[in-house]
Amino acid sequence: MKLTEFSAVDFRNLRRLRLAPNPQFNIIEGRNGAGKTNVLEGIFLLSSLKTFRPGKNKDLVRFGTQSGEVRAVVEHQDTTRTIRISISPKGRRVWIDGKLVRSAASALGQLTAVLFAPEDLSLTKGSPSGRRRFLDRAIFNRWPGSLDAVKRYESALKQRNALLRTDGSDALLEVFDEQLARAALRLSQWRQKYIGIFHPILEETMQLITGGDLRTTVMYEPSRLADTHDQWVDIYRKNRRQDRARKSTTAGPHIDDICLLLNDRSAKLYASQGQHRALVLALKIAEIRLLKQELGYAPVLLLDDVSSELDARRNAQLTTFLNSEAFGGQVFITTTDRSWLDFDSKSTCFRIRDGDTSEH
Amino acid sequence: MKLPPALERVVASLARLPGVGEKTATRFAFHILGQSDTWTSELAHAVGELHSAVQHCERCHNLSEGPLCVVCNDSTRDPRRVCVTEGIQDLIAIERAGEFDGRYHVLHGVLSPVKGIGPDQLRIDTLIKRLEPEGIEEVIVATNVDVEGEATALLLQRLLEKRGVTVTRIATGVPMGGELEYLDQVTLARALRDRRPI
Repeated sequence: MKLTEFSAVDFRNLRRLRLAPNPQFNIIEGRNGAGKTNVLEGIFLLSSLKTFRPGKNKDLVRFGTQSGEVRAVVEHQDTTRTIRISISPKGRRVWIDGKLVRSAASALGQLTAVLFAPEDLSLTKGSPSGRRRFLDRAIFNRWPGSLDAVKRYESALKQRNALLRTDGSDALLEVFDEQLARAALRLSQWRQKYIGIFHPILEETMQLITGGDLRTTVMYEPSRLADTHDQWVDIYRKNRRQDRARKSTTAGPHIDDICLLLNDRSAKLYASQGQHRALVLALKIAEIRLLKQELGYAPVLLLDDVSSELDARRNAQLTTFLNSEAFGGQVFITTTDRSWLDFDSKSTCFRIRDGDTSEH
Repeated sequence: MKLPPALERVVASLARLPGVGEKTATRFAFHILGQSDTWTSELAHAVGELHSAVQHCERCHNLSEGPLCVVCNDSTRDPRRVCVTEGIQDLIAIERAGEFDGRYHVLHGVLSPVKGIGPDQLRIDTLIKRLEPEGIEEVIVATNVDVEGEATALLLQRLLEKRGVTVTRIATGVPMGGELEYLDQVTLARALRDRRPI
């Protein structure tokens, strides 16, 4: 899966930008604030219809303009598709091959992209919400249909919490508990299924990165264990009194975590700085390897200035992986300094300056 | 340049329409200004009598020009089956399909605690009052399949089944003439989950 063209008009600070990406490595260079990450965000938006940085539609368009757009030509298994997203105060609209897409669901899965950003470096020691986001995003890339479960769960949770805050009747709580239980069952099943495939790949990746001296385990740590719809309904019903008192839902997939162990000890509590970095790198590489194994092709990788956060050894390992047959996908890298990047002739460098670009 | 107050008033009114901003409203206003007197008075008259001429049916809350709507007035419709919709536009869509020969009941919304909409804000009580006098045997819930629509369907089921009415839900899944290959994954997954015996 490769982008053969990317353009942006009045998107973030990008006035009018057009790139003809290299099938392998694309280095996006420029000073801080030049708009490098905006290029990655544009590609990410085309892949997930979401942005990875907070912002309403009016923040996504260039200051002083009303609307903007991002567009990409994606080549995949002998077919070429054009995906375009327009952003205006009224909302975002998606076009595929010039046709307006009515439901967002049918626009998903056209472009698979994995983002590796500096925030990911706190994945292993940060809060569970970061790990849930990582997990759900990884599941989405593998099975775009899973997004429905995530959205339904979020929506049902919001409605139930609103009922808890306003002392809604038991009869009303029951009908929303039912919706929550349905989504909870599906969401936790997606998560379990993913971790099942992910675990051996992560273990092997970590072996490669650390030279085999660390045994890695990843476990799904659900806030509640339930395998059936009725069990979920039961969980929410039993928690009702407590939830009413706290005015929020105290158990469910929104409180799940993934537990990472190094030699059977919690990575969150015991890993060294170096081990954390190795583990984060392994998580991201394993996510990509899983996609390649399961989908049969490598996703587009977006590397947002990670080099400055990783040490020389991990940078070298990442570069080796990206250059290897095991990956073979297209990469977009932002950096202020490309001296560490060693991609010989297979790369194109784009220099971004105040939202404009030059190739060299 | 400042527009004449009369034109300004039209712009301001049009700009309140959904999807219409200041610019479009101005374009519309100038267009109307350029039309013949006959047309503008026709438009003004049509808009003016809208509220007095169009009411809600006192039985099913559909649009009507009298106390009862065209569907409720139609003696060939089967009174034993009632289709419940969220809004009038859903009713129109079902009516256009031509498959359903029963009557309707428009809720004018769905449950949404976030927006402060509970059962009392919906036309549920009037539906319950219809059951006995009309001899309703089946209520078909045709709300959307989102969380709010599903919750509303479930609430209706609980309220109506204990009164001896069969409550059914419209089917969801693969559209007619749809090729599976091109179906989005969410719809396909749902169609598989909600499969039925042949």
